[in-house]
Amino acid sequence: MNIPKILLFALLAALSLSIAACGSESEPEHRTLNLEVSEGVINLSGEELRVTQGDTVTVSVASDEHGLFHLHGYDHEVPVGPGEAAEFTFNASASGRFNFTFHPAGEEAVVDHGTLFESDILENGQSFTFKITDDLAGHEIVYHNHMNHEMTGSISVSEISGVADFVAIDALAGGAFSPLQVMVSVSSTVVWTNTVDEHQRIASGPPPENPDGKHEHEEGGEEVDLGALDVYPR
Amino acid sequence: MKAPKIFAIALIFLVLALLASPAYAHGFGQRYDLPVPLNMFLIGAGATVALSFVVIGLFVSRRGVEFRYPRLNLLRVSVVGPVLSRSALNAAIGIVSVAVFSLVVVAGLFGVNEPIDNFAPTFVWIIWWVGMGYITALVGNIWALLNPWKITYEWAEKTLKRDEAKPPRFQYPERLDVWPAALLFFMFAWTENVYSGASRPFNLAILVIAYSVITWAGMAAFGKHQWLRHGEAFTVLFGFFSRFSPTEVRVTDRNLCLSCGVACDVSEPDCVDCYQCFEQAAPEHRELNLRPFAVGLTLPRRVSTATAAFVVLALATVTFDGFQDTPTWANIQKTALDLSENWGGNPLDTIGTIGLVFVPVLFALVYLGFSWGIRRLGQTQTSVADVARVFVFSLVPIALAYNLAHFISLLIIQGQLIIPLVSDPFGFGWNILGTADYRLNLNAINARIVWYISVSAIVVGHIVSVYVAHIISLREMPDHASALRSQYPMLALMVSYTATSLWIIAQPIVG
Repeated sequence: MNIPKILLFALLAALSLSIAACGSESEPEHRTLNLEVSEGVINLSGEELRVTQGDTVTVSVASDEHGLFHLHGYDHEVPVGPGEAAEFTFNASASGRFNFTFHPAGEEAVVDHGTLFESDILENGQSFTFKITDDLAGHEIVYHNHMNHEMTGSISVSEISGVADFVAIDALAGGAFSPLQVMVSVSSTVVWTNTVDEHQRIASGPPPENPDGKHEHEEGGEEVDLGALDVYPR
Repeated sequence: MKAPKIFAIALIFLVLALLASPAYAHGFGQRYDLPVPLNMFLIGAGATVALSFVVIGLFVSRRGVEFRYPRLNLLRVSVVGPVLSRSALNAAIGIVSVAVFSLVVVAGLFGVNEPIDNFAPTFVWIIWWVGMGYITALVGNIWALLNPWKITYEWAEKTLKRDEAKPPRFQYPERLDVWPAALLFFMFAWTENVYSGASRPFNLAILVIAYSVITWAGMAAFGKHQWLRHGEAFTVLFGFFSRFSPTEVRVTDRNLCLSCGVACDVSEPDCVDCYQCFEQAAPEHRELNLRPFAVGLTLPRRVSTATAAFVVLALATVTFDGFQDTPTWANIQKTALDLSENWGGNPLDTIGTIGLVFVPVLFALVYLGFSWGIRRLGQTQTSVADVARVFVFSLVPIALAYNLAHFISLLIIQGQLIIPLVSDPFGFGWNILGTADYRLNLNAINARIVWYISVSAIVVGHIVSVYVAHIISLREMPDHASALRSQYPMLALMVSYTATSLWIIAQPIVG
């Protein structure tokens, strides 16, 4: 009875020792991960998404679509879009596997670093008003009718003041905004008026994309799983 | 009595169908587990096989069948004993438990309907379900103390001045055995593993209310203990878990034990882990003992077919829970999704439901197959079903170990969500205790520690299972030689079960 017991403990001890020996002893380093998101899929530029605990990690994200890039766990969220890559740096202090996801810019997401707006349902004759804030100077604000995704329009915010103090946009029959594009300046007021019987709901951002033809959930844009960052214990 | 039950089940499914809401990733709580690396998987698997033979060697030379274990009666220990015997303590525990239970329901019904911002999902799925599983297995059956349905029922009895000794309205049909509990547990497992709306606070509250109604009605109809023992899924399940635990309640009054009858199978001179008897026993006959781990699983008991089926169902669902996170399952889902274009409803729920039915059936068939082997090699006269019933509890340690490995990081990391939630249980932006701004500490447990704990737990659980099976075989088989022989199929079964557990925790986690 005693000998097997000793043997058992010896085996257990050997087990834990051999596991313990697997630890890596490298120094923390600075890692840069370049991620390219296109059509909701990540293209790895020869990078392995694996770092070691304690590393300083810079994640650089380029995307062909507007939206939010979200690293779960560490909870870093950056707006991304066509053009320049978005970057953030953090210390990988906790080990684990952390998913990152992409939230396409729907009506809820931040577009062009701007504020968002969404009207109530507008019946014929009802209007919705939005005042252009200072931080929108120089931006192009895309909007759409959430009840009819075919209807889109845009507002260019000039950096020069006094371009237009008040702009009226009519939603016409046949599914179009008139005028389609408007030029305004900071602190201008934009008023949309529904002139048709169909209900409308004006929301900032491009209409939600439905690659599968499915209708998106009402609450929050649909989240695309891109992959995971593995932080291995040191 | 059949009609109300069918009605209740129909009601639940109706409620579920009505509430079918946006699909959330199955289960609740995001996991950050790193899969166990290959080398640790191999070491674990090797150790499993090697140590199995060590345990066998331990038994080859052993003759005596008499199995006794040391016990320490906590009620006799100074300071601890008097505190534990205080009924005031019991009453306080009861009030706290019912308060938390009410908070879950109220928060679910009236709080913000977002999983992360509401007290109910984190409390139910992480703190209670995972935590209670750990404590009942590793400490003791505290569910018997905390069960809010039992406590509220007792309060109601006291308020209505109903005589406890009065026979219940209906006689519980003995042939139903623990099938109601097994069925309710299956529905719970479905909610946990398949139902995509389970993380929604409101749905959760409705489910809790539905289960409460069933439980209270069951106790009112058949008597408190009758229903707890046969129909309250968690009393039965945590009862299984706690047989592994290092504590037991024991009644040393032989006559009382006999009068408790079928309720408490009297295996030893005393009755062990029988709460009905324990409640009725005079203080001098009560014992609350410390005992070695797992010996509760070796005690001779009458194991009914329903009990054995429930144990197999529990083992299978625990495994299925982890299997759902593997790429293999993701592939199955993908294949099935392609085939399921014209199925109605939520196809992922349908696939999950099929899996949740299929895995326990597979487990049962495999187990019966090995039981047949045990019977052949052990050359016993008993039937295959008898063999299966007698040995079923020996598989529990493997499942408990896997459960520990699977949930440890979820409990320690996502469990922290409860800290901000106690300050703002409804998600209304309150800060009652000043903890609302707490942020999760992802470093609370390191991936390496998780790996160590997971692999060691699985290996140790395996050894304990092999050990328990041997003790049972020495008691049940006609002689020492056939007892030993009977254990080869058992060993093969256990090694494959353990290897499955290891395989799952070494898989890349999906979603």
